[in-house]
Amino acid sequence: MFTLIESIRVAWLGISGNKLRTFLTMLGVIIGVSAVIALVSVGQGAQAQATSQITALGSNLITVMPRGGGYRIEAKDLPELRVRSPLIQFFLPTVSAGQHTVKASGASYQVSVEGTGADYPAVRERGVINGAWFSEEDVTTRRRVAVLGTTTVTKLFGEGADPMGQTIRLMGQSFHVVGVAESKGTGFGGQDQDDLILVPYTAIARLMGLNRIPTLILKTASAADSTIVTQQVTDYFVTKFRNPDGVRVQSQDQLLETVNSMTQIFTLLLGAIASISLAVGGIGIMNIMLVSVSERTREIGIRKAIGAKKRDILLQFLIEALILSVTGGVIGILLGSLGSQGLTKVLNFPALVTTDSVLISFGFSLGVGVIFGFYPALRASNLDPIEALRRE
Amino acid sequence: MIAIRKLTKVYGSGDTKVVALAGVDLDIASGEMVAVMGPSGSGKSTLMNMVGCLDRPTSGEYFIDGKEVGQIDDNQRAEVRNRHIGFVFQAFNLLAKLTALQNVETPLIYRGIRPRQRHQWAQEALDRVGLGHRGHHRPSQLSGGQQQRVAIARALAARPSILLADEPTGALDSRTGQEVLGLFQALNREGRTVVLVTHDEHVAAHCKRIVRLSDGLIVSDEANAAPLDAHAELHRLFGGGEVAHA
Repeated sequence: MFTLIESIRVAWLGISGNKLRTFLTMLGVIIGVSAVIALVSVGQGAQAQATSQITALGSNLITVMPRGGGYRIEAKDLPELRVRSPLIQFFLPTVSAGQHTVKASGASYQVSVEGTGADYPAVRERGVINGAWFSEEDVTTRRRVAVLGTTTVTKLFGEGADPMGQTIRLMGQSFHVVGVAESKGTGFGGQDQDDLILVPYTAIARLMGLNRIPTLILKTASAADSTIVTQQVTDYFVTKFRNPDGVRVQSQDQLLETVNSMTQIFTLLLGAIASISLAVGGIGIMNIMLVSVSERTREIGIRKAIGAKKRDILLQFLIEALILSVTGGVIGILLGSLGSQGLTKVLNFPALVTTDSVLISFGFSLGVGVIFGFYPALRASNLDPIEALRRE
Repeated sequence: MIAIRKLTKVYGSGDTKVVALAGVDLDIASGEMVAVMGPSGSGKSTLMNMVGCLDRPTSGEYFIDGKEVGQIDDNQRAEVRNRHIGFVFQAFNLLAKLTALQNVETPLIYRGIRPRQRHQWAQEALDRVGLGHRGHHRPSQLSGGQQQRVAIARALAARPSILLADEPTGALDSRTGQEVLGLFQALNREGRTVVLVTHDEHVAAHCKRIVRLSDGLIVSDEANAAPLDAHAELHRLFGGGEVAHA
């Protein structure tokens, strides 16, 4: 039996004879695999980032948003929902007021303002490091109080200043600072999550002339409860609006699914584009293997004359192709991982090389070797020894 | 040991049909040294390909050691070549990237002999042709005569039933050629069966039996009562110079 080890040894001799050609042939696979690794790492990084963003918002959350101006969530819906859906633990009406100029002690700049409720610390899993969160009473009485992010504190009052008891001017009104929110650091795309002002949604709604709740966030104790509540809340608003499309109720799991399927498509697309170069690399291997078979016709003839079977010759050339593609693949994985680290720095975004993408690329390069190496190897193995020996 | 019965080989068909062998009967017994002669186009190359199991006859039978090998498939034919035939070619046909020893080992690899035994057999074969000390040289570092000796060692290593040599001296100068003939004669004296395919009367004259082909048929098959002795010839032609190991 002509063992595998012998085949590898013989194949290695064939390859090592022409180092420049071997390297150039490998280069196609190296570029292909490193492109796949680097680009897929961007996609997977985006996915991991999006997932962590969503889970950072809190857990077991449900977002309720009316579709279109005609449908309103009103304050009176809250007690109604509380009765119908006892599994709801917390209610968080939310008004994203956008960017507004804030002024305090001579400083002034544009900051994002969000109207929210007293359940914010429980729902967002973000408390205060100083002072206290505004109460349910503050919310119902539309008291103009504010909790500031740490960056906002620094920008308005200076590094390390205590803003408690200070007054800030926002939308032409004075707000009393009652707390400083826990720091959450930098989010997706470099956004500072500590540069914001949180105020009772009732107060900001009045200033904006808003008599509805644009977004209602609910929290339940578990994912299972979330599923039940999602249905109950949907039923409630469908009845209220007399329109099944009047409201969108989305649990966090559903949101994760949606985002994941989007980033997956993104990843696949990037991977597919990169795979084209891998296929081109494979064609390069096939080309060189065909040249090699034709150059070494005489060698094949000699080997056959002294007793090599078809399988021996097939294996020899197939293994040559595999050595090219797999070595190229391994180098490509290393280069691609380096590239993805580079991308992390350039994009300010953690590109993620996963075991999956490494295994898949390795598998692909193996596949490229087999697919593109098989035909030349088959041609070699089918050569007639008499014809082959006649060739110079 | 070799029995060929009514062997024919026809290339092409219809108007372009070429009959290379038109019904050959040939027996070669163990220990013989036979020259197969004929001008080009006589069918001697075709006969060599048949005897060497490189090709399949159109009709007729071919037995090696009583076993029919004419109509077997490609893989079986490769195995017969590996076990029973030791080829020696005019152009040596060594693998340029391998050392002499590796070249000699190659048929043993295809037979699946373990490395240790392979090295031993290959080394023995190289010793036998007088090149035991050149095992690690590549073909390009050896003279033509030495290369042909390595090729003979390769043919010997697998311990075949017959040595089948196609114009083995054709690419060598006459003195080296004479030395190679001497090696074949010595191997034959040790009991090995040798078949030399040649168009050279002088080469054929070293064999104990001469078979002549013409137009695809054997036209004469005679014993050579007084074969030339390669060593004596070497002395006669080139004087008392050093005689290569044989």
